[in-house]
Amino acid sequence: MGDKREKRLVRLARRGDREAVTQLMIRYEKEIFGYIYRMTRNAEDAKDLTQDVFIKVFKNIAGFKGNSSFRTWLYRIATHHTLNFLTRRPPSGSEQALGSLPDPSPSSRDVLESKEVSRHLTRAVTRLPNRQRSILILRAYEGLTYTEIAGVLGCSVGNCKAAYHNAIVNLREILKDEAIL
Amino acid sequence: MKLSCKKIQLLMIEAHHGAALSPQEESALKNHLAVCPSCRAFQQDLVRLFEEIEADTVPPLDDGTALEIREAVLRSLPPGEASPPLPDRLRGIIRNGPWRPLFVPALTGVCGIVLGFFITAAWLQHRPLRTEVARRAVPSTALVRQASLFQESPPPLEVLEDYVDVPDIYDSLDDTAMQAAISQWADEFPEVFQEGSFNGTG
Repeated sequence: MGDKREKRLVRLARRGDREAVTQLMIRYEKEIFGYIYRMTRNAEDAKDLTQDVFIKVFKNIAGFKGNSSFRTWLYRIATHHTLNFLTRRPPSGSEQALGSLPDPSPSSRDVLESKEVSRHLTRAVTRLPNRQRSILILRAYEGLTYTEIAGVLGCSVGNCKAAYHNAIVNLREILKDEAIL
Repeated sequence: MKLSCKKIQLLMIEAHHGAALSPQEESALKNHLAVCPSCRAFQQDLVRLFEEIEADTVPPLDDGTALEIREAVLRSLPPGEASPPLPDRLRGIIRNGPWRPLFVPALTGVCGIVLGFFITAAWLQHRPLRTEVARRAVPSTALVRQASLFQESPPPLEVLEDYVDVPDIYDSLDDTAMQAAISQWADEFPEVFQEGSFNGTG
């Protein structure tokens, strides 16, 4: 979606145009769902939180002054809402079950190993402190720049870089402890 | 340039994300890795870590769930506001439009043009006609044949000049205007217009 088109949709959404609201949701729903899922590692929680985030966004869109991009503002609300959720209540079943493991036959050994690593990675990410987890996901998974992350978390670019480095180091340590790395 | 392990590791992370390192940074990184086994191990683990991160997928958000979310959000919103009335919209456009700095000069220019138009129209309406000028300039002693005799062909100016001191102003009158002037003279000075006063031969 072009920047101009998005700005136009945001202007219309501020006036209560439902079609504009729908278009913006279609644009960002998968992205926000993916981000929240990686934070919570629970699909049901992610679905509910995604809905809550969009309700919050469009009820308060009149307060969006346009100082940052709409995407940054959206991520900011999603991050704060999800961190509040994680602080108040740990996600129920923080790791998704991967289902029954296939027979460890030679042909599926790679699949088994991949799923094991993925499960460990999932667990390792959830063991990170909430803020480091958020920065790791925003940078490594969602591809936001440090400037955008600083806008989301309300900190300086330097702090974001340092926190991201700490997240990577901690994640590495956790995975080494589990003999994955 | 000598950098700490933390800075070297930061450079490795940024290089993985596609950041371009300066020649000094590349040189510092290469030299550090040659002598620091801890950072060499970090580099190998980093490669593996990002491979796993890239392979880490999210369950897709199916269309049905996405539709449920959108409907729930729309239900929660208040009814859409009606567009503000035109004066408010116009006020908004004037206040907030990107061309706002040009608005006042443009409006002033348009008002000036309209005002100039009306002033010009009023002046044109009240400007005295040539026949009026001709009438006021008629000498009281003009000896001109009755205007009826000249309905179709007024005497040439050089003929008139033999009888009267025709003011220069009449040089510029065309035939129609001259006829109108002669008609008015005939009305005002009937004694002057006597048959035979002018034999038309100069």
